[in-house]
Amino acid sequence: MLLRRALLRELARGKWSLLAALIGLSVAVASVTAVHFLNARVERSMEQLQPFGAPAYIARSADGADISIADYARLESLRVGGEIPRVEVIVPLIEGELGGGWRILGMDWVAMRSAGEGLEATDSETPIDFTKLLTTRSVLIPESLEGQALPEGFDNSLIVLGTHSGSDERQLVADIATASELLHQQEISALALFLTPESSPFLDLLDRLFVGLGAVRSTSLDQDLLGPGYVIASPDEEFPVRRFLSAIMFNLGALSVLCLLVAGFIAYQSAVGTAMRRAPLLQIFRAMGTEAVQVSRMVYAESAMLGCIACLVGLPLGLAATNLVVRLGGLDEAHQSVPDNWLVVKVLLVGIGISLLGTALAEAREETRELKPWRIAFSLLVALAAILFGFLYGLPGAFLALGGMFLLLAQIAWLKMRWISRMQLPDLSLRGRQILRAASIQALRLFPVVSAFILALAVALAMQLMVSNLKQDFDAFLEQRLDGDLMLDAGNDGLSEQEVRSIASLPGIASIRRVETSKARVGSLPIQVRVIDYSREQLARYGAPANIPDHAVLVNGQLARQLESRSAVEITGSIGRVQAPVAHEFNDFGALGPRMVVSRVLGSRILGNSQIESLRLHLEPDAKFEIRSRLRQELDFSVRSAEELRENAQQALEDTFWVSDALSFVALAVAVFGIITGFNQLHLTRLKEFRLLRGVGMSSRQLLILVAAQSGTFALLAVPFSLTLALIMTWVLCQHINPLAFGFSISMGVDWGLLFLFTSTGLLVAPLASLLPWRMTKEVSDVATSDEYF
Amino acid sequence: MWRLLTSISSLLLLCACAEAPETERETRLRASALLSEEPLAVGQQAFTVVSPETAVALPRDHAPHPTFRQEWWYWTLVLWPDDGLGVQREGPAQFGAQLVFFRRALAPLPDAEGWRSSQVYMSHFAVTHVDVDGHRAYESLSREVPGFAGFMGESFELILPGASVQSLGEEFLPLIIQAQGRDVSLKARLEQTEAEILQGKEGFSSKSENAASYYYSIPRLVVRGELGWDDAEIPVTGWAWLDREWSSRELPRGIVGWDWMALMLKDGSELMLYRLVRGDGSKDAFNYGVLRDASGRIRKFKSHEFNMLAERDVEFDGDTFVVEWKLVLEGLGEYLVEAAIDDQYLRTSVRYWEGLVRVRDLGGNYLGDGYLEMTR
Repeated sequence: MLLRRALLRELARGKWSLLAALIGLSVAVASVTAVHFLNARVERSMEQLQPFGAPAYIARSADGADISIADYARLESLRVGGEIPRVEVIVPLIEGELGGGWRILGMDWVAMRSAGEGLEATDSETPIDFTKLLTTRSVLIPESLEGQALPEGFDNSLIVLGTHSGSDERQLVADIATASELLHQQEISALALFLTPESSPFLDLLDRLFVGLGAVRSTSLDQDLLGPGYVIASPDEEFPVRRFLSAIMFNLGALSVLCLLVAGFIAYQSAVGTAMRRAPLLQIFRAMGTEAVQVSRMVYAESAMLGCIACLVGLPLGLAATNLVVRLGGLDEAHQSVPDNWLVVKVLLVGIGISLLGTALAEAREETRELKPWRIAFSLLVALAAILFGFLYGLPGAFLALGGMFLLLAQIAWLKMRWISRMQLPDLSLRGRQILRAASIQALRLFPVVSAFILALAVALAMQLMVSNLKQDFDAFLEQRLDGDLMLDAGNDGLSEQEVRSIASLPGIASIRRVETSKARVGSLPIQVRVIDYSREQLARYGAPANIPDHAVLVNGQLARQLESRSAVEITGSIGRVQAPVAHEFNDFGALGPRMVVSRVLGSRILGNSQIESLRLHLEPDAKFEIRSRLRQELDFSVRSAEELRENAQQALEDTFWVSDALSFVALAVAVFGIITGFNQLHLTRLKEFRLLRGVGMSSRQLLILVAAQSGTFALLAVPFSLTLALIMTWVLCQHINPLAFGFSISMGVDWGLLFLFTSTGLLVAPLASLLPWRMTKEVSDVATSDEYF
Repeated sequence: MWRLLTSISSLLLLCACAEAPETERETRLRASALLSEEPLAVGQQAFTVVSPETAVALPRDHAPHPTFRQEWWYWTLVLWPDDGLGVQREGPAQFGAQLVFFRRALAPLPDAEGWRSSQVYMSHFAVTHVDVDGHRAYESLSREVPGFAGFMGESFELILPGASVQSLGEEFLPLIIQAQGRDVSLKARLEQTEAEILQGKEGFSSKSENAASYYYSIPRLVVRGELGWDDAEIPVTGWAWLDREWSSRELPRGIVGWDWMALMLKDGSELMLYRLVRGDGSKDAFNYGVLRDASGRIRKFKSHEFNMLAERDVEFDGDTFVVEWKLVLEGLGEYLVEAAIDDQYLRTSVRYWEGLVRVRDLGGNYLGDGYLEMTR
């Protein structure tokens, strides 16, 4: 009891170090809490954007004909008998033109019901009354078309639900009965396939801990699954919205893992600091005959106690920080952040688990002062297990592998330094050996602090760079797709030259860009080909240089990855075949599969007449309204305003980007606190040295300058490593992990402003940590009076 | 293709936006809610109402009644491995199976055909394997589309993907039932051995003062067939019970479910009982039962003449289901009915408990087998 009291008293007397440890642990817990809530908000935001019942695949007859009821019955029987693995529901669709520019898409809502989506709702408060959809002539239309004159036979008893950022073309979505009646068609146009989600306890657990990380699961479906005669289109290739959302989720999940890693480092630093500072006292207790177990038990109890306090402080702190961020961001405040079980798991893990782990490591380090082989073996085992997980679970496993490898490398680095400090160096003078040994001991002491510094800054910077690149790509994506003032869609039949001429002659139109597409093959791979004029402006849209010759082609990332040679391709079109050099690979964010861009000259040689899919109209000022109404009323074309579409899309994703910004902010805050805490703990272990320096006559100002200079020097040395590591992490995420997961890469741009901001942050924050030792040694004039001499 | 995908995504996105994201959707239908809705009328057309003036007429009424809102064909089977010794056994059934075809009209438009049909069919197929403590259930759902789902042909034929019932001749019976789920299948021939029982008053079955259904049963159909469970194909034999019921509005307000059991005893008698579960817990005056003894004599039980007392219950999805009952029948004595396995809860879109049960006397002696259904 006396011993315990003595230890506690000792802990309480070092109030500054105790405070630093508590702040470190609390910040770690708070950051985990904030990341958890922000991730939950992203998830909620994604749930609203993600089409919750969108089919995984669409199957059509390979010859383009309709699908008979008998074929549908055959497939359904196979499905029910479990012979089409993973296909949970098959929903027949009937689609066609209604005339007057209207289309109808009929889905069998009855079959949809067994997909377990929406239709089961019996709660009277649920706003969607799906049973009404089963009534003939009830349709869904986008809100943007509300008020427009509908095709004959439809009255105002339409169900119009919500709004969305998708297409606003003149399309009615109805029950298949309505489509069948209006189109006089019994045959099925296509089948929507819904898949059973893949089950994996490991990935489910990952999803619980890190939103989105476990979401990357295999979604491939064998083309031959339905037997010959069907073409299955995968939305993974043809559905950019879904892939885009998955990409955001995954990247945020990955970043939150890294954030948690940094929080863990802070907690570890704090725990190690409190344990190591009292190491001499503990050794005295041991010398006095106290059993090691007894001392250990007390130290661990203290760590757990500190961890509990950190949890109690950190949890509301994180919650308050999240609410503040949400309030400042002007986001919807209706959804309160309520702690759940998984948050509690994470908080306890970081607050108490890592505190205990830190104490254990510090104790082991203090006792043995050497690296035991079991640590290397353990790290190796973790790395091997992680690599195995990588094979089994793809990208989430790869992340674990990354963590495992990092641990292994850290251990090897540690071992190497130990080895240097102990090795016999016969060729060196005694002085040289002493210097080397002293340096390695110092490096050992600095290793955790500097690595935490590097990692904290690198993670925060990587998050910022990722978000910044993702945003830029999204803007570029919109720019590429939505140029011009108005977009005119021609529908399935395309536009004739005569129609284009008549539109061009309308007053108020400044210029017209034709979007022409065609189909071709590269080897046996079917591709979509876009024909453009190789003008400087047009090429710039694909990020290509202006001097590309007409016989060269541009390919998107998806196509490039499937080519045997990236220097040239053999293209087979409807009227010819040609070997063409690949001049540029363009980033096709949200691509509709493998695509190629060819010049009009090359297109005319191999493709024949390509279809004019749509027009981008550049208008004279103030001509938009007039042109739009004329095109709609007189020529009966579907016209969309690029500006409106852009605004809608950006609005829909704004919240998500805002939340990702907030996550980056949290990461930066964690980095700052991490750096300060790390340096504080380092300086606290050198307190007796500082007091000695004060005792021998160094003024507190001189001491402040000395410590600040040392911290600044460390920071100066560590910042280049941080920046390099951040760029590597961003590069791996943008260029390798995203293509692996989603089939497209995010542009790897370097924002110099961000680099400057983070460099300055790192350099300015580290010296701040010198304030604590300065404050603690300010009043000391004699080493003998120090109450923290140990 | 892009257009189609975009349209679907837009549509579903649109639906998703309208959904309150915080609210967890109720993901199951309640049978009692389905059966207590007011009849829907479209224009001048309305569903036909059950009337005591019209009696059940067979074989006509084996076929569907599209002018009524809903009906079902309900086969429950108690089965033993077929070792060539015949159906009658001393020990409890080792397998149970149910195959049900539900029909529900979305609107009183019986003439609409093909995709425009307002008739929706749903099948539930479930198998209980006592030795492995297993119960598997499957569902199939579609509107009536010729050649795909619904009532077909001139002779009796009901089909849905993965389930079918087909008469072997012009008569309703004998017939073949076939059903398939993942890792479970059933193909069996059913033959009639006893006459139909018209429930209630000549098939007019009152559920309240102003709600009723048409209801008849055919007990003790002889079953021979094959049951597939995983990779095993097991020849089986046993008894089946067919329940037929149709109406446009069956359950009155205040009823939250029902408990129904159809028991086939070793001595050749059959017993069917049901009680309507009231929300306030009180006993309903329209509870009903029927006993046909081995000699063919029929006795019908009114609500006050029998009691179904709960002995042990289990919980699924927050609802309580009784898996051990004590039956108290006036003038006949007391019996115990217990589930062959507790978890025979069907996790289909309409969720309920239905499964194989044993009948014992108070001394624990085995008397027979049957099926129990409980909805909430």
